[in-house]
Formats: sequence, C-alpha cells, structure tokens
Amino acid sequence: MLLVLDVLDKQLTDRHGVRMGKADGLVMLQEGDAPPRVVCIEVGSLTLARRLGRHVGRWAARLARRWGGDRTQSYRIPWTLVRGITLEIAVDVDAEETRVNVVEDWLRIHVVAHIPGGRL
Amino acid sequence: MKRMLEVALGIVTGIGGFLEAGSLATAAQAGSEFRFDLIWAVIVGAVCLAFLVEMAGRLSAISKHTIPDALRERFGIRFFVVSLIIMELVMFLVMATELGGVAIALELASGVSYRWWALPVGFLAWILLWKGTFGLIEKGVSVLGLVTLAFVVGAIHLHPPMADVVRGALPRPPAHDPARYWFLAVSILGASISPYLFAFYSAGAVEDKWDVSHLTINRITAGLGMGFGGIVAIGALIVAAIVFHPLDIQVDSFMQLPLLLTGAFGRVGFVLFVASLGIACFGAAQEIALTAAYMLAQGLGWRWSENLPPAVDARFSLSYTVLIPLAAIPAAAGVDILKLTNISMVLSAASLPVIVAPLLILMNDRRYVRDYGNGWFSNTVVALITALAFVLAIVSFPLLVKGGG
Amino acid sequence: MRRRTLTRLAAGALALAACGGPTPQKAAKARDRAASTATSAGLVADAWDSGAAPGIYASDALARMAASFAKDSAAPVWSALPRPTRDPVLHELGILRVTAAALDSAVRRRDRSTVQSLRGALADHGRALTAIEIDTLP
Repeated sequence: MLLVLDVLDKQLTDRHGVRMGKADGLVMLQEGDAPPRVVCIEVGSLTLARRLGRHVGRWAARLARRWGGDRTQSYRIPWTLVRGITLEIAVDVDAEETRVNVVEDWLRIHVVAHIPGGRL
Repeated sequence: MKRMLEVALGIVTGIGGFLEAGSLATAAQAGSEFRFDLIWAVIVGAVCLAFLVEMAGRLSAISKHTIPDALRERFGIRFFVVSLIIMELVMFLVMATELGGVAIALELASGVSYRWWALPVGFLAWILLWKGTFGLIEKGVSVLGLVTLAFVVGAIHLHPPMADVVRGALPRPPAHDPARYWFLAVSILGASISPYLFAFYSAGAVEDKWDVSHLTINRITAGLGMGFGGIVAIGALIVAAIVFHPLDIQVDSFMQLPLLLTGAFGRVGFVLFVASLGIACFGAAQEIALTAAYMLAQGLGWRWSENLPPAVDARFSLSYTVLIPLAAIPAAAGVDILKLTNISMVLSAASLPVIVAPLLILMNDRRYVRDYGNGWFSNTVVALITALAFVLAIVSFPLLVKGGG
Repeated sequence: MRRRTLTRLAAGALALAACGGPTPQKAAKARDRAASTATSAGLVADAWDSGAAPGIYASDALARMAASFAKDSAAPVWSALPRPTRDPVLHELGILRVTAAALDSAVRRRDRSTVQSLRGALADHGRALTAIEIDTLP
C-alpha cells in the first residue's frame, strides 16, 4: 500500500457510511530501529494548513488560537479503527460522536440559526 | 416512462442551460463583426463540452465521487488548492457577469439602472438556493430556459443564406482584424466550455444519485443536450450576422441586443429577448453559486448537498451565502457588464487546463471508473481538448490585451 | 526553460499593453464604433416608432447612447488625428449626442413626428461621421 496515494487526502466514511471529512494528515511513529508505522489519521484544517507550507500552517495556527481555542485541534482516528480502504477509507467511529464537525456545529448554532429558514 | 422523462429532462437541461450572458454576448459580437465566420468556434465549443460533460457524469455515476473530490483525492492537497483558487476566481467573475446580465434584463424591462437591480437579484438567487432543492433549481432553470429557443426561431425566420452558414462551420483565417477574430474565438470557446459546468454536472450526478444505469441518459444529455444548446448559440450568432452585420453595427453594449429580435418579432421579440437574457443568466448564476460552494465543500471534506437544509451543511450553505452578495458588487458598482463578460469568458478559457487535464487521468483510473473508463477514441478526444485548453490558456492574455477593446 | 518561456510571455503581454497610446488606427476604430452606436440608436428609435420596443427601453437606451457619445467626445484617442480631421469628428459626435438626447426626450413625450425627423438627422450625421477619412498609414 502506498500511504500517500492510497490514504492521504482520501474521503473518510464513518460506521454508518456517512462522509466525515478527508484524511488531512497522517501521524507516524518510529520506535528504535523498527520501520515507521502509521498510528493515526488526522482530520482538521490545521493539519491541512501545515501541509500547504510552513507559513500557511503557522498563520492558521495563530488564527485558530485566537478564535477557536481547543475546538479547532485536529481530530485523530487511530489506525486500528480503519476497516477498509477503497476509494474511501471506512473507519469504525460514529461521526456524530467526534469533533470533525465542530466548526459546522458552531456555524449552525451561531450563524445559520439566525438566518430565516436556517433552523431545522 | 420515468426514463423517457429523464431523457427529456436531460435534453431540456442542455438547451436551457447552454445560453447565458457569455455565450449570448460573444455570439452576438461574433455575428455582428465577422458575419458567419465564427460559427465553427461555437461548434467546436459545443462538441468539446459534450465530451467533457459526458465524462464528468460517467466519473460521478460510477465512482460516486465528484470532480473536486477527485482533484483532491487523486492529485493531493497542493494541486487541489491551486485549482480551487483559480476556479473560484473565475467562477466569481462569471457569477458577477451573470448577475449583471439579470440586472440588465431588468433594466431593459423597467428603465431603472442595472446597478440598482444587482443586489436584489443576488438576494433572490440566494433565497432560492437557501430554501430550494437541487431538483427544483435544475428543472426550473432548464424548463424556463427553453425560452432561449427564440433565437433559433428568429434565425430560421430571417432566412439565412445556408451556403454561407455552412461555410462558416469550417474554421478559416480571418478576413480582417485577426486579433479581434481570435479574441472572439477564444471568448466563444471559454463561454461554451465553461469549466464550472463539469464540476456542477458531476455534483448533480451525485445529488441525483446516479449509478451505472444512468450512463445512457448521461450520454444522451451530454450529446443531444449540449448539441441543441450549441444550436441556440448559433441561432443568436446568425441573427446578429443578419440584423447587425450589414449595418456595420458592433455590439458594445447590452442595450443594443433587444434589437436582435424586435425586427423579426416586434414587441413579442422584445419580451422574448428580455426573458431569455434574464432567465438564462439567473440560471447560470445559481449554478455557479452552487458550484463555487460544492468545490469548497467537496475538496475540503465538508458535508454538502443542495437537498439538505442549510442547518445540516452550514459551511456549504454559508459559502454561497457569502459569495453571492460579493459577486453582486461589480454590477452594483456600475462596472460595464459587457466588458466584464468578455474578460471573464477569456479567463474561463484560460482556466480550462486545471479541470480538463486531470480528467484525462481520472477517466483512465480504474479505482474511479472501474470498467467504464475511456476508450481510445474518448482518450484521443480528451487529449486533443487538453492540448486546446493549454493553447487557449497561453494565447488568452495577449489576445485580451490586443483584441479585447 | 519553462520559467523563461513564462517570463517571455509576460514581457510580451506587457509590451502589448504598453503600446497603448492614441494612434490613427485606434481613432479610426473609435470612429467606427461611434458610427455603430449611431446606427443602433436609429434602430432603437425605429423599433419604438413601430411599436416593437416599449418607451421605457427606448428612452433608457437612447439616454445611454447619448452618454456614450459624450464619453467618446472626451476620449483621448482623437489627439492622434490632425486638426482638420479631428475637428469634424468632434463636431459630428457633439451633434450625435444632442440628437440622441433629443430623441430620448421626444420618446418620453411620445412625440412621434419629432422622433421621425430626428431619426433622419441621426442617420445623416452617422453617415457623415463614417465619411470622415482617417489616414491610418503611418
């Protein structure tokens, strides 16, 4: 398997087949002389920003610290929960129970709900 | 029965969706300045569009992934961000043009300057997206867009010399003013092969839950629909060639354009023109607003669907909510809409490679299209279109400077 | 290699943009455009007269065309012409502007006979503008 081609940037789907963002980054761990292995997939705009370059990453991190606090931290999905990789990466979590949609939720409550027709 | 309806709808989509401010204005300019000589550019544009739209639909019907999805997944975040920025800029300009086109139609009908109409038009476009569903917008735009057939009826009514029309269907070197000729050729191609259309169409295939069984409908929609759509643009070109060219009238303002149909149809022609311009531009503005939001949402992995209430896909809905008023600003500020049209059509042509070249790879990637990949013929065609796209991208800026005035 | 090509292209585009001063060729084009506007204004008046175009549109279009003649008169492009050519061009443009504005108000008054006579004047001056010879040889 080629990590960059088959995993990075792929669509993630949760236990119920619901889309839950893209694989924005990978966390690798190297212990001793063993070859590095993937520990988890990261989902989050900060991870994404870092991949666009050091300056973009730093700038995004500064913005996030000022406006978002802890919520904007990238969400990590342990590699052990990966169930299958096709065009999509199926992971054994429930998107509703994770932080991948915090920005969505924040916008729903604080912006969309104030626009007529914006409530469920 | 249901399938027949879907096929009909597909054709209607092509006809109703083809004409917008860009293809109308460039066709009218071409006809008035070069008579039938640029008909070939409309044909080339429509043929390229048909092939690319078919591929966009096939990609999404088989893979359930849209083009923006695939740009990110297959080519990585850096490529995606570059194409995102280019596409969003071009879509912004084209959306500003289309909103301006609707505003001009309202000025023609009311006598009140288009500047005052831009923001209300933007608001109306937004509220339909906010409250409506994908099916409503797609079908509404298509059915109302049939009014643009008035140009075909007008062209037939004016009895064009068929021999000259047929001769115009073959590319030829310009009779005069080569810079202007090629500028208009590139503008026509940019207006026909609108890059946003592929992203829109592929998102539509996913919104409408297409699968393998839709491939035939996809082919018919692309082929017949875009073909008939091209005929509408050729109709506008022929009318301009017959009405304006003998009088040495050059199209340099939208105010001249109702005259295309008043000669043949009197007051009815005036109403048909205003309705065509208004509806076609409004439909295009909505499609572009949606596509701009799709592109962001699909590439960045947000939730997206025009069929979900805005509360569920807040980021997606807020994207078009922010974009539409921004795109209404140029018209509200009194920018010359025809100049804006010409610039945005040339930039559309210039941006083609970022979306066409990846199709060449995606349509041969079995992970996406499985056994439904391109054959050698489609591959040859898309390779030729890609080459054309790169040529357009390179020549567009010099031509804009030299032939745009 | 690619960068050098790009640089050359950019330089070429800049050079094209830079040769933007008024020339007799550009003046000839501007004259043709103004004549085209005059013909269009005539068609608008005709369309109103025959009932094809509503008064709201005709008046709006004629007002915009008058404004376009005013803008043309003030354009720097005419400075490329010698006085004996420039003066008649500006003269005709002035008359066209006044005529288009008068047509606009006649349409608003629904004064059919004035529209018809002004429409004749518009055509005459449009032709007169086209007839002014501009020497485009360097």
